[in-house]
Amino acid sequence: MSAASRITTCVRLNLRVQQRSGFIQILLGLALVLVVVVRLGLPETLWPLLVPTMLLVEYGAVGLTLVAAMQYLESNEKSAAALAVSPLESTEHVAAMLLAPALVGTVAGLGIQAGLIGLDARVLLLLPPLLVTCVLAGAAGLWVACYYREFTRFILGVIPIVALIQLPLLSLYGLTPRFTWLWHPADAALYSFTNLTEASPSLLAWAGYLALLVGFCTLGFRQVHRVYCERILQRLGEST
Amino acid sequence: MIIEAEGLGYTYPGQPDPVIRSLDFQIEAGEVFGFLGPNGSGKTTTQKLLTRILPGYRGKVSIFGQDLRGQSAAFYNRVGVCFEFPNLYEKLTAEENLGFYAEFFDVATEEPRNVLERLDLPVGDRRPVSKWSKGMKMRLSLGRSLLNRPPLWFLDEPTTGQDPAHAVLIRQLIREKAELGTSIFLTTHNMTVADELCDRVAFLVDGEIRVLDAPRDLKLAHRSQLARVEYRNDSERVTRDFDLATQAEKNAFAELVRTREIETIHTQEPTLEDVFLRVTGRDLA
Ligand SMILES: Nc1ncnc2c1ncn2[C@@H]1O[C@H](COP(=O)(O)OP(=O)(O)OP(=O)(O)O)[C@@H](O)[C@H]1O
Ligand SMILES: [Mg+2]
Repeated sequence: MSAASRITTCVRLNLRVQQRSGFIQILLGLALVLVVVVRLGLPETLWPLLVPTMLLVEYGAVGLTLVAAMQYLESNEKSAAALAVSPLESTEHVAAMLLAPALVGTVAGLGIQAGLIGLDARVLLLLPPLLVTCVLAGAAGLWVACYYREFTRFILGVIPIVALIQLPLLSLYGLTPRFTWLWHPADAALYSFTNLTEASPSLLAWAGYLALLVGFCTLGFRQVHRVYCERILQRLGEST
Repeated sequence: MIIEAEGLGYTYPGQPDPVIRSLDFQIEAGEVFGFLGPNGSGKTTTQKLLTRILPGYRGKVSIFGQDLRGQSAAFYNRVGVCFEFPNLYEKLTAEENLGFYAEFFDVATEEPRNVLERLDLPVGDRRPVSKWSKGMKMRLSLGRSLLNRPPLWFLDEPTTGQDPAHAVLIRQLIREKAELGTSIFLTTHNMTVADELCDRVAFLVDGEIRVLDAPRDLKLAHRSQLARVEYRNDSERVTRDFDLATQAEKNAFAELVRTREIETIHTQEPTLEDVFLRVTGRDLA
């Protein structure tokens, strides 16, 4: 068994648990409701602003809540301790915890895109930044969940992070110059998206964004893995 | 040697005193090693140290001849760990719990349904395990720890919460694995289990090993020299104890046996439980 196949197994396991807990249904349902509301209730002129907003909200919601939910479930049921005595490395476990909700978030994002603008081949360009942004949102969620175990505190801790994720929207709304948030991890998804709706994106710019995102991801992953080991794995030993 | 611990010590973070002071012991390949001791003496803590769940211990531990500190998670391909409390994915079925877990291993694994059958658990039950009873969940956790056919198996009170029939089943399973050469680290409060199954037992008291020996040798060492005689005195039944360690009592005993109509004579063979109570000083009676 390679690291990749262990991660895949763990992702499937996480998705199964989340499906049984109803989280996935809620998040995909939310995407559906958003699409229906926008289609039926809002003038098409507003869509270029609304759709990216919804995408970012969806990332935030999906990434943060699913990862945190998984974290709560595992530590409440102590099943994380079972994984800790399996050949799954802690890095692989954390990777799977981030990837599983990122997949759900990506599917939800694509659903929104398909429902409002339609899908064509250019969606392939949108996919990677979507996925990576979801991973980052998840990393932020897990990071907060490692510090705040109590639900209300977790929510309070998450609010500033959700706000940070939404920052690139300021440019979309014309409140800040277009390239202010170029460095921002969520900007790539937004940029790809608006490009898709307007014109063909520049491949070079797209690749640059992707490299930036991968950098952010690596950094975020390292950080959250360290915190997870310090705060969760240590406590796991004390509480099982 | 499958496990070697030297000066193993542990203090929970933020606690002033160590829970495990300094343990030295060795477990041979194929041995069933019983770890006994009063509540709170540090048995579960020790198992967590040996299974890498609690980092930051003092001293040195080698397992399979390698320092525990340098091990990667691949270590668990050869180790099975059953915790004191069931820890399952409560929303998944038993087969899902076993199936996903089995996929993590590099080594050949048991078929989930065989494991379920072996532990007298229902096969094909579509309910999540949250609907199962505590005893069933415990057996499922036990089964999960066996999926990879581990050469080293850690068990923390495996018979707790089991009805007598299932306790016997688990005892048989442990014996079966021991006969196949599995090394077993067995924590238990059940003295019958310890006496029957363990090659050697260690008594842990306040984070230290008080005695460590084969159950039979421990019982011999703690045998009292007491003989209890029941005899007839006219129509009355009389019971009298003799301490055969002293010459006078010995003579009195011989005299009685010669002159009276004896009904029963018992030397007071200690059980492992008696040894436990004496060694741990926890005779609550
Ligand atoms: N997370 C923890 N933080 C601080 N102290 C702890 C923690 N867990 C256990 N202890 C203490 O360590 C000591 C040993 O506990 P442990 O669970 O190892 O005992 P045990 O021998 O397994 O007991 P039992 O027979 O009841 O299962 C106890 O005094 C307990 O209070
Ligand atoms: Mg215990």
